[in-house]
Amino acid sequence: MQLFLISTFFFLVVNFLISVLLKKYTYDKFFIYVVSYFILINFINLIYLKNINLFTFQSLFSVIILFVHSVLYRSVSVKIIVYLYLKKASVGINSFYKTEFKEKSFNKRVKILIDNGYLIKKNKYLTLSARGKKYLKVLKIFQSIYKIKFVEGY
Amino acid sequence: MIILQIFLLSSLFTFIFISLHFLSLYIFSFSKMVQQIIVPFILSNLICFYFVKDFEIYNFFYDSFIINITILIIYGQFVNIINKGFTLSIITSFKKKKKLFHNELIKNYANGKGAKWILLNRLKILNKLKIIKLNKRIVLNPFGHFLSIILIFLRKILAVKDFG
Repeated sequence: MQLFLISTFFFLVVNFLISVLLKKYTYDKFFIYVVSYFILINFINLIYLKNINLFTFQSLFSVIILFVHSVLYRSVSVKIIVYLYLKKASVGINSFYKTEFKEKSFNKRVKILIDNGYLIKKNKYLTLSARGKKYLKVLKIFQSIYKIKFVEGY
Repeated sequence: MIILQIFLLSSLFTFIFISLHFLSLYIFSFSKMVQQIIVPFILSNLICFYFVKDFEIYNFFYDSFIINITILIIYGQFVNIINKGFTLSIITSFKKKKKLFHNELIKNYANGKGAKWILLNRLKILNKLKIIKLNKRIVLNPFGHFLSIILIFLRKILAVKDFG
């Protein structure tokens, strides 16, 4: 039990230090940190501790922490709740849509897709790049396997 | 050696779990996520338990079960992303039309439902859960206040500074 608590505390302290040291601590960077931490802690476990329970705990902990982080970082619902709390006043639906949702969520994701080479902006038009088309093809295959008609959107 | 036995047990679970998930999709046509994933998860664990209870590997069932929960979360998240991924939905907006203006993309989002639909959908769910009060304006309920404090606290603990 002590081992579980110490490893969790160590994880959180290092995570905090990384967030202070890095200018922009995105989900991708957090993901790399969690994977590196998981490998390192299990490497130490394999050589010195040989504790199988620590391995299973770390597996579950890493996945839950990634899941919780992605919810806190990306979820539209969490964004609405936190925004309303910090604003301490009621907000109009249309103004929230224009300023917070469209600008800071939707357009931001479109920009990320352009930056990562999935979308191309040409004369005010947006089209899928070769990489984006490949991605869409794979996505279509998975959607047909899982009987999903269209992506609902988070 | 122990770890290999756990992996073996969890591999058996994964095979049964995914097979049952597809059975629930294609034969029983379950529509709800709980029926599609949780029921196969419980059943496959029970099947694994039944098959290994007389063998030595049974001693590692508890450890394997923890790994199985991890597999459930990863698999559930994978299916959820294919179904509801925000960014993926932007890419699938190009299924019908190959070239889109930015405004057209906003309108075509989520199979023509539009980007505003997601926001309204989430607001309706939050209203149903009594987290917010929804008229023309959005107001937090006392439960929403409580929840937002927990969420802000969690964001501080995990050092989440921005929204993606």
